Formats: sequence, C-alpha cells, structure tokens
Amino acid sequence: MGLGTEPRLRHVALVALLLVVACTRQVESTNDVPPDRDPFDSATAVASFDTVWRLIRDTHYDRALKGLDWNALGAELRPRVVRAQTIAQVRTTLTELLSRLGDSHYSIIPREALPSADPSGSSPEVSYGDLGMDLRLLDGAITVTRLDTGGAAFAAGVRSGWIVESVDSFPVASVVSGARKLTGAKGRVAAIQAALAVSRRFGGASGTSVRVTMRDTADRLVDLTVERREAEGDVVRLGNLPLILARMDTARVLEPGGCVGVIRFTSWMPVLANRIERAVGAFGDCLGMVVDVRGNLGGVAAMVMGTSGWFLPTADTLGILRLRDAELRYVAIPHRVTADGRHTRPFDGALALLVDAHSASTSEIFAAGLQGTGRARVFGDTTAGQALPATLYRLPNRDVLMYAVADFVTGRGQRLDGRGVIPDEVVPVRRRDLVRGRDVALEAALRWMRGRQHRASSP
Amino acid sequence: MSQLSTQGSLVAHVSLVLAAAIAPSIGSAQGLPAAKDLIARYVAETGADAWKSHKSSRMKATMDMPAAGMSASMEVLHVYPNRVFTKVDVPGMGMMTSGFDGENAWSVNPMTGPRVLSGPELAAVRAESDPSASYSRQSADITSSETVEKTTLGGQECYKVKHTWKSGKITFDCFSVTDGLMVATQSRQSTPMGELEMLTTLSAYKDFGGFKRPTTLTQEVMGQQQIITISAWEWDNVDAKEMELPTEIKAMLTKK
Repeated sequence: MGLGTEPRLRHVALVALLLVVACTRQVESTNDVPPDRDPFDSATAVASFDTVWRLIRDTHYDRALKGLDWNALGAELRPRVVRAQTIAQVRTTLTELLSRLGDSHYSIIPREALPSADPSGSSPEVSYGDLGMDLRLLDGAITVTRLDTGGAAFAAGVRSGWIVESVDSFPVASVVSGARKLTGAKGRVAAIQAALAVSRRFGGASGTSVRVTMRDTADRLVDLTVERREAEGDVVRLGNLPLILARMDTARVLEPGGCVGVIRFTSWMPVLANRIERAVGAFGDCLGMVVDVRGNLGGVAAMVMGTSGWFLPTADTLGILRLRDAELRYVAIPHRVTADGRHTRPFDGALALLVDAHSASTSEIFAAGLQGTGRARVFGDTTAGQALPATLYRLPNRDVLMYAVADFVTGRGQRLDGRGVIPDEVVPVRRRDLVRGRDVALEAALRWMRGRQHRASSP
Repeated sequence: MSQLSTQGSLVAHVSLVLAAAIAPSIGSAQGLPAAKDLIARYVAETGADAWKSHKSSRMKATMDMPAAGMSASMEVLHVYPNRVFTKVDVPGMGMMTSGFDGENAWSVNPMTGPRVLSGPELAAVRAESDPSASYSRQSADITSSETVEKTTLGGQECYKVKHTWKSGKITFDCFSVTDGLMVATQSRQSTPMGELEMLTTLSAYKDFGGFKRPTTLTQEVMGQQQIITISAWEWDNVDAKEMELPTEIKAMLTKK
C-alpha cells in the first residue's frame, strides 16, 4: 500500500521511474553552440567534483562501487580540480573519475551543449537542420549508411557508401584514428563516438551551409557545399538532456504472401508513442512487421513497456533494473484498446527487429526483451552495449552529470552493458552493399518472413 | 457544478471512520505518547476532517526535479469520498492521467499506454483515494498504529508512528514534537515496475479554508530530489465532466 499524506504521492515515484532515460547523446550540434564564455570559477568546479563524487557514492547500484576505493579515488583526483585553471581540465578529471567505474551512462554533458533554460517539451521553435544522412564507422572510414531522399545530402548527389573525409576543414581522420586502435566493447563505443562526432558537425541551423569533402563510390574525392535543411521530425527538450530528434518513418513492403510493415524511429521519445500505435494499427493486416531501431540511441526507457505491448499479449518481463536497494522490472503492457477507444489486441504476426552498433540503451532493452521472450527475431549488427538506465543531475557549474541509477539485466539475468544484444542473424553493414543500394539487414528479415510464411502454408 | 457526492456514500464513510476510531492503537514504547493521541492531535491541528463538509476539492501543484531540469504541472481532483482524477503534464513526456472511480483504478501515459490497475497498485490507489486514510489516518483499513520512536526527520524532532494495514503493509508517519504536524511519511510506493521505498518530508503547512495542508512535499528518488509545491486547494468546483474516464479506459472496462 503506497500511501502518502496527499493522495497522489505515488505519482512522484512513478514520474521518477518513467523519467529514467537510457540514451546516448544525440542531436546537439556543437557547431552552433556558443563557446563557453563564463569566467572560470574554481569554487563551483570543486563543488561540482564533490557533488559527482558524493552522488555516485550514495546512489551507485553496487554498494561496493565495483571494488573501487572511492575515498582514495576522490583524494587522488580532487586536488586536480582544485588546481584546475579551465573548465576543460575539470571535465577531464570528472570524466576520469567516472571512467574508473567502467560502465556506460556516466558522463559529463557540457553546459554549452544544453538547450536554453526554457523547458517546454517538444520544441517546434527550435531550428535544427542537418544533411539528412546517417554515418557509421566502417572499416576505419566514416561512411554514409542511409540517406533521406528529401534531405540536403541526397539532393546534393551524396549516396550510400560515400565516405566523409573532412567537414568544414575538420579532418575526419582526427576522430577516427583513436577508434581504429580499439577492439571489443571499447572499440564499439569509440566507433559510435567517432561517427557521432562527425554527424554533429553536419548539424546546425537550417539554411546555413557546410563544406564537406567526400569520397564517392568510385573513391573519387568530391567537394560539396551543402545547405542544411530543417530536420524531419520533432526536436524534443527533455529536462537537462541535449535536444533529441524524434522521427518516425514507415513503409509497407509487398511480399508474395502479403505485406510487411516497416517501422523505423530515431529515438524513444513519448511524442512518438501515438505514431507507433497508428503504424502498428495500419500494418495490423500484414503477415509481419519489422521494427528498425538501427541508429536509435535510446531515450525514455519506460517506453519499452508500452511499445512491447503492441507485440506481446502477456505482461512478460523485458528486463530487470537492479537498484541499490530494490529491484524493478520493465514488463510489457499489452494493448487491448486504441487511443480512440477501439478494442484491439497485440500484433501476432512475424516480428523482426533491425539493430546495429548504434542501437543503444533503450533500443537494446527493447531488442533484448523481445528477443528473450522469443517474440522477435533480431537481425543486424551487435548493438552498442550501452544499456544502463540513467538520470541527469545539474551540477553547481551548470554542466550536467548523467549517471546510472541501476544495473540492467535481461529477463534471463544477462547483463547487456559492454556486451550488447547479439542478433539471431548477424548481418554486418558493408560498404559494398551500401554502394549497391542494398539494405542487407532488412533483406535478411524479409527473407526470414518469406520462409516462415512458406513453411506455414506448406502442407 | 454537479452534485458529485451521494449522501449514501457519506454515511458509509462516517461508519468507516467510527470503526477506525475503535481500531486498536497498540501500547507505545515506554515514555512515548500513544499513537492515537498523536493522530488525534494532528487531526485537530490540521482540521483533517474538514473535507467532510465539502463535495469535492481541486489541488493545484507543481512537481519539480530541479537537478534533472524537469518541472511538471499537476492537478488532483477529488470528489468525496473516494473518486480521484489526477493530471500531471511533464514537458517532453506528455500528459499522464490516473484515477479511481470508487471501484476501478486506472492510468494513461505515453510510456505505458492505458492501464486498468489490479493487485497492489489497485490497493494502493484505493487507500490513497480514501480521505479518512490519506488526510487523517483514521481509516478502517488501518488495523493498528503504534508509536515506535522519537527521532529527527526533515530537520524536526518527531514521534514515529508505525501503521499496520489490513493488507499487511506497514507505513510510518512522523509527528512533530513541537506542533503535532506530520513532518514525514514513509511507505513503499507501488508502480507498474514494482515497489520503491519512499521517505517524504512535509513542510510549509498552510490553511485552505480551515484545512491545513503541507504545501511542500520533498522526496529523494535515485539521488534526485523531487519537490511537490501545492499552490492552491479549492473546494467544491469540480465538474462532473472533469471526472469522466478517458476514452481508452472506458473501452477497457467495457467487455468486448
């Protein structure tokens, strides 16, 4: 019985849980962010270090702090902040403190990267432009893996498989070289960071231009000046998170046995919930659906409960949050009615999920949950392995600490952080396929559905 | 405005309150005031039974998580004795509503979709919706109350009272040594994801027409301080239409 002195205290707990984010930083453009001009303040820098140190000591899911001598670590690093002369030095020290934990979702978000202080949810007034293309680090090169056909890059002639060499004189090799040296989980994270670092340089106010040197499919150098176009989708403000782009696309693919609905969304933002519902409803007559979370770096983690409920008829456990003093579960919440009050039921046709190395956090919780229940077959590349539920804390120096509030394991007790979701069918992204315009992960999913359909219809 | 409270339910409620009055209040630890006396003082100090002379109330509040940069507006409509409709609008997340119609508890939010609650969540909402429990701790659902210690919570010396509920759950309140007001409450909060232990400190009591309520309620969840600040408490201005079930919930409660 959760009783408070006022009848709705339960909401406070619920909102706190629903606010838990599991995402990697997304659309903020460091290009457009004015450089930090605040005078350096040593006192707030030290106070920020102390806040981070204390918050982690008091809230880390592992009371033993993974065996670290936290007091000694504080004693080792705090003097550096006391001596620091610049905000960059402070951030470097804080990042080192956080990195000792060896987990994802511990990071310092610079105040310059944050939206202005007028939190108003979905923000149509925010002008966010980009070139409309997705990038990945493939074989040591930042490669275009997907283009919006209505986007600026496509209009300028850029095609899948092109390689980015420089952006506004910024040599891409400078961010790629470090990532190339790393392997395993660290290599995956470094590859994401490298691709995002380049992507951010393409972001900026719509109408502004960016100069880019690329290598086309024949490996010829191409110099382009491309005007950014307004990004499709909603730019969402969510507390102290940097701006997040929420966009959804759908497609109906016709197959011999019927249609397959493809639903792709770029982040787990509540503004998309109704659109996901409508898309699932629109494809309800199809033999299968493909949910594409490639490049989806996460968002509001609780959305996995409602979204999974469009595909699961029972309240299956999707994953477990292990807090210091409690254990909570993400469970599927099966949908029985639509938003307009019509009776319905979860989709029971074939379900495929597409993931890649940029499917992180909430996307991993979703994919692991549906894979673990046996409801979905997962195709693509191993995911990011960045799957801790986290929240945000504004520090005295106005930077924001993102910190994990729980460990996360799948319904079968498997930890995802540092490991990722391993697809049932591993389909790596290769440049030669991109050049030919092929989406091999989607092709594999459709092939599986055709086989499933064939088996079902065979006598 | 519509007539929203029936005489019959009020009579039933008074019966419950009377029943609660004779529920056992276990002997307190030596030297501590009896729980029943602490509760009686609290009820007298706050006018906790004032709701009985009203048909409905509307509480307006903000819910802030300053460290996370979140601020939500909140409104709780209560048609006595036990019909409740809550709206919380969180920028970037959308409108979250929930309620209790005297029988069914429900919630709708963009993260989980519509839900009709059952089990511990239903029990929690049922208890929260009962003003004799939430305002004055005089519910028949509380089988015993016992003063367990003198402690300090929310910066104030207070007597901690342990309540045992019919369901077997245990909750705690702490009543100020100085003025008898409740300064903290501790319970396990039921959520769709499970239960979380919560300590809420209460302060800044204000009088709303003879009904004194704390207007600042502070909790700490996962390292985050969350503050509810009540800005208004209005009586008898809830329209029946405002209490209507959301379309999805109506459909869920209708057999297909």
